[in-house]
Amino acid sequence: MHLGKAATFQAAGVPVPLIEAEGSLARLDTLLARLSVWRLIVLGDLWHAPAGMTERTLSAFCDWHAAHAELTIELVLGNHDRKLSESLHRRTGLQPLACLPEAPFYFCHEPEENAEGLYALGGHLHPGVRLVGPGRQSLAAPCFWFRETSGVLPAFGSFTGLGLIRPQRGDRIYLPIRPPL
Amino acid sequence: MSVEPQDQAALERVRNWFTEEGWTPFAFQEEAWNAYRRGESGLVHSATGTGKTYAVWLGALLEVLASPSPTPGLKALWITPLRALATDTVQALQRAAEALEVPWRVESRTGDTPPAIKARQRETLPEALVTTPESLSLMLSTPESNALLSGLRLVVVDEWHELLSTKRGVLTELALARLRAWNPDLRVWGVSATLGNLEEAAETLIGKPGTLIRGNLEKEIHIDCLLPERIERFPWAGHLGKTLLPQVVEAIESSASCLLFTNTRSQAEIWFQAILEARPDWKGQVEIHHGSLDREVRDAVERGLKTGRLRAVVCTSSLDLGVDFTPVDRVLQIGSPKGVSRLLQRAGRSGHRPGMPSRITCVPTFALELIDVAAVRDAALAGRVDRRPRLERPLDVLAQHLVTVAAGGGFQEREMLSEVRTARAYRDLTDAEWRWTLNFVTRGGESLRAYPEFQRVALAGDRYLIKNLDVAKRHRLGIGTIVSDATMEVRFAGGQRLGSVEESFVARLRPGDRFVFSGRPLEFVRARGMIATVRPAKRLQGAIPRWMGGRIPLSTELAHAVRLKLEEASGGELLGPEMQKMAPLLRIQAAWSAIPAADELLIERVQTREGHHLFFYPLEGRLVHEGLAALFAYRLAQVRPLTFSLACNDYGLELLSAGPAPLDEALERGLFSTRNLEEHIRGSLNAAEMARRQFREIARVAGLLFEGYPSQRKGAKQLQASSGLFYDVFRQYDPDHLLLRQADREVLERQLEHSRLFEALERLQRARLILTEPRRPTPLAFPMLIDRLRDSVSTESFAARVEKMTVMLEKEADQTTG
Repeated sequence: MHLGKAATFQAAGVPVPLIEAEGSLARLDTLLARLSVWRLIVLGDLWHAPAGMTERTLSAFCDWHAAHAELTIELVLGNHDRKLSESLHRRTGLQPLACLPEAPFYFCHEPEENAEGLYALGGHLHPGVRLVGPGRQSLAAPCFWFRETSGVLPAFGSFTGLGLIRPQRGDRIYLPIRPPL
Repeated sequence: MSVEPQDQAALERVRNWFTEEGWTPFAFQEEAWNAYRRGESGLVHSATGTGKTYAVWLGALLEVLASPSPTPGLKALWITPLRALATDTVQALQRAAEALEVPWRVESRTGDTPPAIKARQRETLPEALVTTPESLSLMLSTPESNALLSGLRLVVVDEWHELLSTKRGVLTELALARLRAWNPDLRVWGVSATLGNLEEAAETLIGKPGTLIRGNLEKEIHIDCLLPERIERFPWAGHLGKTLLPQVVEAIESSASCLLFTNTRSQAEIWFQAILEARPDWKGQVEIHHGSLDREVRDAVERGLKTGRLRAVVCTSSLDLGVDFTPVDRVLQIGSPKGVSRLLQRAGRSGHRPGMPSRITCVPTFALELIDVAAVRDAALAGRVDRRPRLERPLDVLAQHLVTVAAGGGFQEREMLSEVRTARAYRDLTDAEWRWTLNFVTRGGESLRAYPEFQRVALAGDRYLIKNLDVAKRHRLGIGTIVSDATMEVRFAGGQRLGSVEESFVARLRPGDRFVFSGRPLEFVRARGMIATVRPAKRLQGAIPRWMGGRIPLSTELAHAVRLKLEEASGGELLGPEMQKMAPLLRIQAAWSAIPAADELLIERVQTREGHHLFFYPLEGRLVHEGLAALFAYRLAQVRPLTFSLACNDYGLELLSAGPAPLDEALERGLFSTRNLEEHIRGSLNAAEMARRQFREIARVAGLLFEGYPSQRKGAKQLQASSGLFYDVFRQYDPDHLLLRQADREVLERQLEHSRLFEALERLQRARLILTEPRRPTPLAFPMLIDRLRDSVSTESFAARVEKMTVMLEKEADQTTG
């Protein structure tokens, strides 16, 4: 989700509009309610960087967390989350895991990890594809990318960007058409 | 001016030195020295030829000879757009100072200067410094800048025409405004090629009108053309080139050393390969040079040219400027020269010795380009050179400059605003735009949406400063306006760098695929990160990478000259060998349809198996035609819903539809009207996507993109985002952001040449319409038909299909003339 990314940029003097964490969290709420979710697994990079974890953002997250006491939230550590100090993690109220093997899935951040023979589900890449239409039109869109032994979910946050992928024969690609989903 | 005795003595000294060297001062040089001594600023210009450097340099030396300055420190700054020119310039300036016994040290300070020397220069500067716009901006970002630079008397900007219509030029304007504010007596002189808008060029440099001094007598320039044995009456782009290869080889053979200019990097690769195939024994004597090749590769080629070791170099605009290659005695221009100034600039790369003529030979790659050659010669002889428009208040450059100044000691708002307004580009900067830009660098955006964590420029008392050292450091790394493409480095597995190609080209390659780059056959091994690893392949074959941005349109002046050439032809006059050669083609064009005069617009309505075609020939250059095609399609579809496919070249545009297009109604309703033009253009083009791409440069200049610390790729990862992502975020969260509006404006101006398009429409409104209905596509229409086809079929079947169509049309044409 890369919460606090815009704030990280601002702290470094890069003038980007402030995108409040509430936006992404509200979008998540819509999904949670619609799908009656009771367990949420975050596949890494919940936070962007410590510099963006301002008091405001942190308390917005904690409020949101408190409002979902019924929900089990598990965070698999992403490369960005690893930059957080022990105490910052404690403040978020989450206990991060390196990975989460649970047959038939192996939940992780980087989908190339050794998945102990399970089907790896990850994030990290922010997969996207470019669709090309007639008249030099093209459109890049986030996608789900399922391969033979692993699958990659698209990024969820509002300021996350795309990594264009090169699908191979046999891969399945799904595009979420109308956001949010 | 009263001539003081010491002035007279100084001038004598210069004259003596000139005599010793076997030179005589040119009148324009003395004119420039006098103007300088009178305290004037100005611009020295000439088409080609030498003598401009000393015209602006010796004024400063004369002044020192007449009245030595007691204070040490920097007195003269020489700004060059090209780092590679710095060394030669330092030598030329130093040589004059030594000969005249002026105790001045001349040094350079560019991105190539070793850190030890830079460190010393931070303490004390020499009397004269040769630098680039970026290095000057970098100097302004240090707190010592005021102390080091305020004693300046002279700033020279070399090759000002190259900077004028660019953001680098605007950056230079802002830096000059600052230097002038520190020293109101500062004299600024530009050195420029001849332009169609010299007054404007001088005013842009100086901030107010300046003295114009016309340089050396016109150098003799020969413009000729390699003529094909016969031409196709139904020509298509790219077809003619290869048939002229033997003549090109012959031309290379008969000259001591020559430059072959192409219009794109891909063409350079193709021609380089073809020449070596024809003459394998020239391996090592013929080289290739373009902007995507590694710096070291390019340097080696330039050295070879300078020493005369090389017989020929196939190159692109990468060699338009640069150090003099004295041995070069001939220039070949492959493909249309596209512009008058461009042709003159390239011609001037040959015959660089006094008294030697410049010689340029055009090599048409397409029969219609013969008209361009005839037209460009007419325009060059008549002295109708192209204008280079100046840029109007780009806010991204202003934002960068404000942060630069904030890092270099800070500024007060009122003072800074009036200083900025002395730069021509910002004379009409509105208060609102100023406030917005200031907010952008201090608060990150409009005050209403203040961002609490934002840290860049902060107000301390009444001064805007940078407090955070990291922010200042990151800013310095990002100074400049040059944006590199999204490219990947091409390397051998052993690490040797070859250059760079576009990411999108690499994305299509599979391991084992072959391609030609840097004139070498390569096999693609793998892509990792931003590096494409390759190994040498055996045979010279494979794809040629295509780089973005190879679509230069005909310049306004050349397009005008081409219309005049066609007007002559429509009156039955075929002047010049090129037009004579075109006779068979023009005869068919006249018989089947018409040849438009300069005040006429020819429209051809043709029906083929493909559908209903409308061909328009505004003869305004490709970019304007792209805009017009989209606009016409949009307006025709408003009369009656229809889908069009579009094609354009420098001469005309084509609209193809399944059913007949309602041309007459559309003409009545104002097909050429300039009303609601912007709105209609936006409605007709994928303008949003174009703006998103344009935003890359703006984001880079305004300091949104941070490309990381050199040699320290990690560490700033959390600050990296693509310009597209920024664009989307601004659109969504801050849609009124002025940088977004700037992107829209730049798309209109640069990619669609909006002002030219506007003028073209006004011309078309006045033009007499000639509507013909030929039974078959005419010689003028044929190339557009082919271009559209090219996009939709593979190469093999493409050539075969074109061949078939040509044969059919030729048969018909034979009946016409037969």
